[in-house]
Amino acid sequence: MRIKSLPLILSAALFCLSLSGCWDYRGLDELTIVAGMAVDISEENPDYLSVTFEIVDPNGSSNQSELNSIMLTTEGPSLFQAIHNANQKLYNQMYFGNMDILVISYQLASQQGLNNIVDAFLRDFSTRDTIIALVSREKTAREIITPQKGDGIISYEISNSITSNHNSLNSVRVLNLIKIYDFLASDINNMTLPAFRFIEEPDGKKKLSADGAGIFKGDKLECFLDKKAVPYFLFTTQRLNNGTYTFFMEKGQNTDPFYATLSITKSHPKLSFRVESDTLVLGVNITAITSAIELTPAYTGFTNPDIRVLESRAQESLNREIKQIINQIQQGSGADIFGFGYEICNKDPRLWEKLKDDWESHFRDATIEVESKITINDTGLIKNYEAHGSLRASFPIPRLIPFKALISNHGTERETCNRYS
Amino acid sequence: MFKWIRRKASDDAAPPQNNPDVAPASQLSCALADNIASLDALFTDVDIMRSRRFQNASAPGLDFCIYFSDGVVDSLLINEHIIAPLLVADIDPGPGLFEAVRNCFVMTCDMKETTEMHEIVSDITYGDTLLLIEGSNRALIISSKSFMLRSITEPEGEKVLSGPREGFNEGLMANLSMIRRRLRTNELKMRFYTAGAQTNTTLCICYMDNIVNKNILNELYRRLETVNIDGVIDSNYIAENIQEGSLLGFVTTGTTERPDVVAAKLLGGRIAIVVDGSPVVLTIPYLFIENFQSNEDYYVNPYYATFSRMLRIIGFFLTMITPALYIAISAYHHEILPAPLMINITSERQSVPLSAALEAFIMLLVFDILRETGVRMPSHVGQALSIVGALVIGQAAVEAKLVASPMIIVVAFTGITNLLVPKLSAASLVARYLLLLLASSFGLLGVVCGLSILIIHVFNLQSYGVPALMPLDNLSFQEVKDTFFRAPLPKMLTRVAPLSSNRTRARTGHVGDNPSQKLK
Repeated sequence: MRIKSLPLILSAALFCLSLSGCWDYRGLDELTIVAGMAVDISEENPDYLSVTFEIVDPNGSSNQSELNSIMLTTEGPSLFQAIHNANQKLYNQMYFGNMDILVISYQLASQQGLNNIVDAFLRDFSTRDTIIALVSREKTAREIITPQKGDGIISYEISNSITSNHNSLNSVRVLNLIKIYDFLASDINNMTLPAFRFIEEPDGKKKLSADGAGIFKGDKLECFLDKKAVPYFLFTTQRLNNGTYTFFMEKGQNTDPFYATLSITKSHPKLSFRVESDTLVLGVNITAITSAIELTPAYTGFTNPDIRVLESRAQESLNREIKQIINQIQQGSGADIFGFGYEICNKDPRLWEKLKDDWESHFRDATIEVESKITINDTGLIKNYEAHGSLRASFPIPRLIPFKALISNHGTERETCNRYS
Repeated sequence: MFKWIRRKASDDAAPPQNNPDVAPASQLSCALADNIASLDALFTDVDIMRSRRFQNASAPGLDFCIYFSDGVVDSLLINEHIIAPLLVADIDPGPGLFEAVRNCFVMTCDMKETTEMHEIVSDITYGDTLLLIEGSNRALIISSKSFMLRSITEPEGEKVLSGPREGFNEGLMANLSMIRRRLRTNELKMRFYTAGAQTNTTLCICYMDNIVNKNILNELYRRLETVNIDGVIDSNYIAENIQEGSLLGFVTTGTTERPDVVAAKLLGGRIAIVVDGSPVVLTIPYLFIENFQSNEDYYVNPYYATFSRMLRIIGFFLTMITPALYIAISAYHHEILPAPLMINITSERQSVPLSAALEAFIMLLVFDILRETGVRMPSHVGQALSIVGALVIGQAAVEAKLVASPMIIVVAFTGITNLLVPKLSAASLVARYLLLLLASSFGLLGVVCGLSILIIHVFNLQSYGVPALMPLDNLSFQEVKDTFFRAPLPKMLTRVAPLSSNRTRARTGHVGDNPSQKLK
């Protein structure tokens, strides 16, 4: 053991040295941490890129609890060149491992496309592939990550607010860099990227806010999806487990019109397709489990079977809105951002072989069918709430008991009562 | 040059030549005067040696002489039970004189007769009294030991919250009595053995005859035969001479200062070596898991004991790898750090002069210096020093931007976890610096390679022919009942296989589980 261990240790050390290639000790103080990057077209030279980095300022943050960042803008004919130029201005090399967001200006996205930028990320930079890409609807992308006083590190704030609302209806659809690679590599689907712009608050301050989504054809930005359409777009494209859905309840037999808000517990979409007498029919089927959280104005005279009515109204409203939005996109850009093409390609490759060459026109001409099944299984009211007054007639149903079980009993009881009264 | 140094060294080491006038005989002679002369020659310049020559009152030519070493004998016993009877008794100075004195006149319980001079020397220097009789070539060695011993206190290094608080002291017989009291059976064997050419130190090898593995016992005797040193001052002198060495400082011989631990280990089939003059008793063989076992584990609730044991095992790994991991991650693998943590550490590391790796080496050295001073420091000074050393220097260094504060946390954490497994402190010290070196050169890959070397080494460890880490080829509950967790005592039915030929430890299960025993 004594004789053998020394060569063993030495050979292990040598193997480490030769195999690892990590003979590059780089202390944390030798790094310039990049939090976010914004890419614009240079104002002086339209062929050049103007790249802005948000860099964490470690000196500023050691004394205060608040973290600060500094901005650095460089220009170059390519992303690489711009980064090279930036490194020359810095004492330490830039480190992209903790970069969270990549903001692309809409001019760049619509004129030059994303391919070059994404390709650069794919080939080099030790970035994480979970970087979130955004489109700026402001004049430049730089503005988005330029911190205002007291904002901290704006890139991290944006990525935090996006990821914490992930899978929520009130958010945006997030695409990581790794998914963008996929979208750009395949020509079946069109991608969307969340768009951001500043909105002026009543007190005059500008607040960054999600504003719709950029619709891409290939790697080029085509147009923007309206902010109001985003929730319906999310309904059709991803599973949700959070968020609210508000719809208008029209005047019924004995009800005034009011707004109803449902809180979504679970929702998942299913796309379908069929060919009916030479026309392509594309279907969206949404199943959602919700709870009623707000009915404004507080409405009285609302009875048990009316839950069913509420459900069917919610379904009608959702169907109508989604169909309208798909139709708008069919007539507008014609970009299949919902993933119908992917669905056909997966389920019926032969049909896709026929359709794929002229998919855009097929998509434009397709008939859209939207169906949804919304279940309200919680009213948010406590058991026997009616005994205490205010909402006496509105929801005389104890909580924690599934509605379906109760509706039939109460329904028949009511019918009987009506018959004899 | 080397030859010259070697020659010079051997010249210095040569013993001074002295030719005494009277060459000491190795055997006693019949003439009392000759015997006294040779003993006096042996103890020339040993002023502590006392002799007293006296005559029997009734038989005037009948001379006796006693030899003893002052300070280690009970002089009252010598006066009243050796000298007094021989002075006044009516003794017949005939041929049966020696037997008469031995059997009828000396009034002590423990004595032996001898003719060998070297035996006389080793015994009277240890508090026995030599009685020489005129006309006899035999002498009586009468036990009259009496010397001051430290009182029996709880050992500082092995304190417990509950359980026996006795600890060994420096007296061999006192220590043996504490073991004997706990194991009242004829199966407890205690064999004396002498080691050390100059010190003539007595060792006692204790084992349970019906439990011990005889192969291990024979191996121990074989190794003890090879011990050839001039002195045995502490039990470690024996341990280092007979144990298997470990390049990385892992322990292969158990040590304890507690009689309850020794008794439990003897029952587990181990052998104890009690060394005279040392409160530390050796137990062999020593399995690797014993580093993490504590006697208190068996005196408290099994859940609590299991939790403590897990902490010790985790603590051992943490104390080895914490600085190495910190360096590897902060210098090579930044991607592991989440953004807020990375920014915090980065901002702390700004404008610190040294690189993290060098900083780690220096801070660990500083910590070891503080620890070492703390050990030797008188306790009242020690407290002040620990405050100055740990708090003031640490905080001042951070505020003066000499050291980054995460490093202080890492070093402090390493130091604290080191105290969880005191038995492995040497091994974890070696491993810590080794891993740190590898981490600062090769990053995580180096750490993994270092840990692999460490694990291979531990699997190769042997203690007196027994592998320190048992191969768990046939994994059963009884094999692991006392390793990562401590099973309830009624569930521990067998002893560890290679340590004992008699594996059954207990036959019955837990009586309390039997419903018929419950009160109605």
